[in-house]
Amino acid sequence: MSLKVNPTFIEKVKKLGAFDINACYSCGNCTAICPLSEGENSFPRRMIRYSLLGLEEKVLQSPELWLCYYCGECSETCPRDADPGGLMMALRRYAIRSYSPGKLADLFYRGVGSVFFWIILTLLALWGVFAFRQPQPDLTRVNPLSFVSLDFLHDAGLFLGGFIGLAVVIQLYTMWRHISRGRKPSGSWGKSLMEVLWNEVFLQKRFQDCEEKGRRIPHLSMFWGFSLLFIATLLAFGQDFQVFPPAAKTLARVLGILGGVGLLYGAGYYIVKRLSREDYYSKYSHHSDWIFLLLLWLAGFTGFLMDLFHLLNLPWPTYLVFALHLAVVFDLLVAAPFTKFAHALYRPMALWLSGVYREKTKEA
Amino acid sequence: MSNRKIGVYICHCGGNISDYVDVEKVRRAVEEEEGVVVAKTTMFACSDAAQQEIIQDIKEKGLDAIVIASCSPRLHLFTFRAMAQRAGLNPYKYVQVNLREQDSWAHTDDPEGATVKAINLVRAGVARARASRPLEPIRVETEKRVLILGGGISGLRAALSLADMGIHVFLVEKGKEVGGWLRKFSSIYPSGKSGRALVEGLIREAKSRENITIFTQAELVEKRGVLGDFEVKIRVQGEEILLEVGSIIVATGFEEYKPSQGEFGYGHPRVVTLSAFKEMVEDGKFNGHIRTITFIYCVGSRQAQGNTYCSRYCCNAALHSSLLAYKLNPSARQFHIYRDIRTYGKNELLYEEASRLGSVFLKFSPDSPPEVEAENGRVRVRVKDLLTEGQEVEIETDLVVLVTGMVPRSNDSLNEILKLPIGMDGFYNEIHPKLRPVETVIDGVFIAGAAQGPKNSYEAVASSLAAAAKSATLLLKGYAELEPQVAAVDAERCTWCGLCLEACPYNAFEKVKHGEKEVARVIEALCKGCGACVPVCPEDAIDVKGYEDATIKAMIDELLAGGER
Repeated sequence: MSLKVNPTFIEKVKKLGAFDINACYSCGNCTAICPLSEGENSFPRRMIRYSLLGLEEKVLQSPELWLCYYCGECSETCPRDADPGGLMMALRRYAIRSYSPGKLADLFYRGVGSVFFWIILTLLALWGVFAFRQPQPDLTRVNPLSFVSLDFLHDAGLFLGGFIGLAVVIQLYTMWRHISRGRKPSGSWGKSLMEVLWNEVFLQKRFQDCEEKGRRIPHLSMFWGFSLLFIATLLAFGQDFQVFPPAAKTLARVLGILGGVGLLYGAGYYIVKRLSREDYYSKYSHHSDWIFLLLLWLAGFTGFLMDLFHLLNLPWPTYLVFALHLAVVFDLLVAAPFTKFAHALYRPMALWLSGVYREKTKEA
Repeated sequence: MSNRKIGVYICHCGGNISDYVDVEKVRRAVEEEEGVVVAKTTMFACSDAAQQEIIQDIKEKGLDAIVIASCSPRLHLFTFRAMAQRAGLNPYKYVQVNLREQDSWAHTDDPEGATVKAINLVRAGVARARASRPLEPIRVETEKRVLILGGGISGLRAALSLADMGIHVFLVEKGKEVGGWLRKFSSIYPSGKSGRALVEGLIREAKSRENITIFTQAELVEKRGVLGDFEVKIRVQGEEILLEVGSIIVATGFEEYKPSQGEFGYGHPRVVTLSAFKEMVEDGKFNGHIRTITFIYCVGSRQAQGNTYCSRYCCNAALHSSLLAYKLNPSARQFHIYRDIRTYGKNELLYEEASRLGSVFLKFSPDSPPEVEAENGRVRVRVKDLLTEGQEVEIETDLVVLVTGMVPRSNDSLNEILKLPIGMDGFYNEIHPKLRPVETVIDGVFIAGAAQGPKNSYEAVASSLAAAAKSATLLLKGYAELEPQVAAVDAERCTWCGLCLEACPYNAFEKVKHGEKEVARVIEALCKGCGACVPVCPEDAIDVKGYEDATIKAMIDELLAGGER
């Protein structure tokens, strides 16, 4: 079966970061040097060819996109400075857009337009908080629930959770549809999932294969920081938010503090790295990279700031920071399936599917 | 008893010979041979010291023939002929025996046998030396005029170069005007300079020279005579002109491969050859309607059957045209379906630039060439791209450019006249591609430019200047010397039956009066000494000098006589 060549594809991808990829002359040095490309999974060269020819479906069918950790060894080795690593990153951005229902993710990957969209989202969240806040907050003693009601938090949380959950299910299904097309499962679903969860998600061992090993600990810190905060929030949710006094001796509070520290360290580390632009992975930042990191860091920072004002018993500062914190968390979560955050979904999913659909069945 | 004084020198070749052949035994076996007065072994016969010793022997002992048993005559025949000349000995009284390639190297497993063979070979050499007679080179006076066939860049450039050296040039062009292929193009790779301006400059210059005569709509109809003294007849617009020239340079160029109807969709208005595309781009016929261009490379080149050669200019020319097209329409999408990109040397930059401008390259296997489907306004190209794991892809395109190669011109009547050897590829053959790249086996006839094989303009000019230089060295000396080992007729025996003339590939016999009867005579300047006439002569009246029947028989006798005696 012959596939139609589509020259517009690469033009779209180039807008997302693969500026120099036309210089590629197919030598394959990138694939040879790549520490993560092995066996059936041949990248980045294969991805470059698919992209130049505009074989979009082939790109979206490739779990390889997500097996790349953007260490940049390919780009440093490239004799033509075609930046294959940059292409892999751009293709991931493209895939995030393509897998999202109704191309919702496009909103976050435009140029200036997406910045406006973020501002609108933030204003929407702040408006929500202020529109539904309690009319008479406690001004003698700090009590966040006297500013924003438990019911509001509850309803907003359920709504947000439902929305995200639906988007995640749709997107993972879309991804599965693409990757499984024309292939038959040969590996074990359960075993592959356990391996991915343990090695790739919990321990993120794959970073070890990259030459630049310094990235692993901050990334783990960021991942576990966010995860612990998420668990803490769920626990707090179940306990009707009886966690607000910073001195409360609950599990949620302990996890929250640990998570917050991890998140601040991890996100802070990457912000500093991206500012210094020293390493390959921090050299070129798309605005979607910056917004993701800043939101993560702000989520942790506003959380601690709120605790500080709480301890100092300053009602209004506490309430205002609380509103800001809610807006940041809202931004982060509502956009999670459509932004860089979505790699936390797609990467494990791709690794899982890649373990299950190990052998490619030949096309008829 | 022979009254010859023969010197025999047996070379060790450092061990190349003496490791397998007992050279001392060979020396002893031949020193008593009839006529041998000196028999020596030497470490390296070709060394200066050894040559000095031989020269001394020739002078002091009055040697009148020498045998050097060393390596192949291909290597040192001329070395030792020159040495003989320095010693005052006629070079044709020197005999080379090949003990290395024909003996020691071939029989490393059998030193005893090799030694016996060496003795026989040297004895045969001595027999030949005994029969040797002095020969003088054939001297031909040369005309300081050159005929150049073809008025393209090669012919024009060679003409100017010869004119600069004071040699008169007759430039014969078949077409209506001189200038050739380059006249068509306003931009040629690698620099993008105008081909038209280039040749027009040459034409202006040529026309201003008194010693260049240009004939257009002209062709060669007859050639007679020999190197240095050709008599040629050309037909210029119906009129025949006789010219006398010393040498001929053939610079008749090439033709573009013309695809057959339906070959890669050829015949459809949206499928064009490279030169047609180039004209489109240069005439501005290439416009915004053409959004996608697909080049298919190696059309008419590197085929399993047909043209097996690479035309070498086409990758560069196609990429240069591709860049021109980008200038006219930077957003045009270009696909290049190739077998191997051969943008050798500095032309690699063309490839690089096209690639950076967005050209996508797809590689096909000769086993599955691309298919072009052209119907109505839609043209589609299907190809299995080796760079994408053999994935078959389909390109919808506005234009297909067939990157066509060079083919030899059909010059049948000219080939009939000049009798130049033609290679398997249909282009004219040189004597040696590296060492004698513009000379042909027809003395005094040189080849230049793409008539010899695919060349781009600067390669063509390089070879045309070489041909001009070779012509000039021949003509400026005023005379040429030819090998004297040619056929000779014994007029007493000859009865003029004409069989020798029939057998001769060079028309080197003429009928002359000898007393009362008519006999054959060899036109020595034409004869190559091939010997084709010798066995056909019913009267045994012909011998090739240096290879007379009697000489060869004597050598065979020695070879058959057997080892030691």
